[in-house]
Amino acid sequence: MQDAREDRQARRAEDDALVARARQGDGDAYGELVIRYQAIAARTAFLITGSQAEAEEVAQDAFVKAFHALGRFRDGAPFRPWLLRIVANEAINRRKAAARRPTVELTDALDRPSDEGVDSPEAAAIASERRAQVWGALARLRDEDRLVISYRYVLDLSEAEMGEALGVARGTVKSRLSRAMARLREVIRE
Amino acid sequence: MSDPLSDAELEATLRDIGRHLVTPVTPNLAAGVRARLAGRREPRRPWMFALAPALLTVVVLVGGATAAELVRLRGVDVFRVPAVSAPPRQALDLGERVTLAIAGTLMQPQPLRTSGDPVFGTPDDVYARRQGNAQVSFVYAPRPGLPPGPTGHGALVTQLRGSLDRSLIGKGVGPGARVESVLVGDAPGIWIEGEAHFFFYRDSAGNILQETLRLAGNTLLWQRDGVLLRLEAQVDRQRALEIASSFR
Repeated sequence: MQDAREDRQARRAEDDALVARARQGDGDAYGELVIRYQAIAARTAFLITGSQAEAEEVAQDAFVKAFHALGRFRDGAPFRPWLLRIVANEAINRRKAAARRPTVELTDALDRPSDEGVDSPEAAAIASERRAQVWGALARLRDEDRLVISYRYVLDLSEAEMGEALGVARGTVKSRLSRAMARLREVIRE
Repeated sequence: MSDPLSDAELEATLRDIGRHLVTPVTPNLAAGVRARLAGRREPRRPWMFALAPALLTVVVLVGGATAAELVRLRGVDVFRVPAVSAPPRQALDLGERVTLAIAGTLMQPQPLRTSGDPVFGTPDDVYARRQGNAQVSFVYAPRPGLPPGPTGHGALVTQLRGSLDRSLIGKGVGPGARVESVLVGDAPGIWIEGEAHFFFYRDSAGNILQETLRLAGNTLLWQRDGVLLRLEAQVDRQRALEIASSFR
């Protein structure tokens, strides 16, 4: 646990240094930040747009916008949730402009083989059925609800990071997540 | 599902989704972002400017996670462009002409050499770049079984040694070219065949080295022992793989 915390602290310190260099116009430093966070940026965009190709475009656009917004980046703030906020806004705006719901194909989206062993074929089948059911319900939620749930459980952000990414206080994160989970349950029951 | 999920089961399922979700195969976004940021700062030549929107947008070649992996090769980024037209000059800027011995001193350990291939013996010319990533190019004149390509040469084999975490080579591929992933032995590679495509090198900042931009014919890119290799020759895929396998 302590090692993980130290790793996070070291990574955060590296981010701070890279951001400082990037704000001075250092392209290599910003390129390093892109490499660090391109995967989670693309995943975030994908969870909103439901389109792999569009998610890549969104992520790239967000990185370009973030670079030009570095002047407004708050000193001492964590870079990752700040970036994800830009990614999410970009994805939501783009999808609203297209006036459509996410179009994720379940069979395409959830077919990554598990790294973990399973107890039995029956257990694997039940787990797969649950994933499909919950994923389908998640896709029917409002963007705001899907985002807060995805940040917490799918992308594994801490509550502090979620607060930064959503632009709300930590206490608000908990209440939003609670309401979103309640709505997810309602959709699952429908 | 008949039984409602408990809170713990629902949370566990959501986390499970995170582990199973096939999200975009992350391309080299850094190269595209760098190019776009550089595009804002640097004036481009008129024909380049016209091409820029197509060239500077990273697009996965074909939809789907499996297909997206076709273009994944460290150090290389492939762009889909709507059309390919010849740049104003066909540059073949390979650096300075050197002897094999000097090339060996510039690239440590020695550049990979072909062995056992009846056509690809000693190259007719050797070029090297001394700045940036170590780069050595072998040029082979046209000969039976090796027709001239867009550059007039029979074949060109370039080897780059350096950090492959950033894009070193860019390719703009039109609709008439086919791109597929291949294995050279057990090494990953990309094969581009058909209509000629744009080819260029990038500098260490990710900017396009315009003097290197030209049209290229059938090309195989692959990695071996930390070296990025590029074979350009008007041969079919099978022959290209045979040639590539002979470089050790």
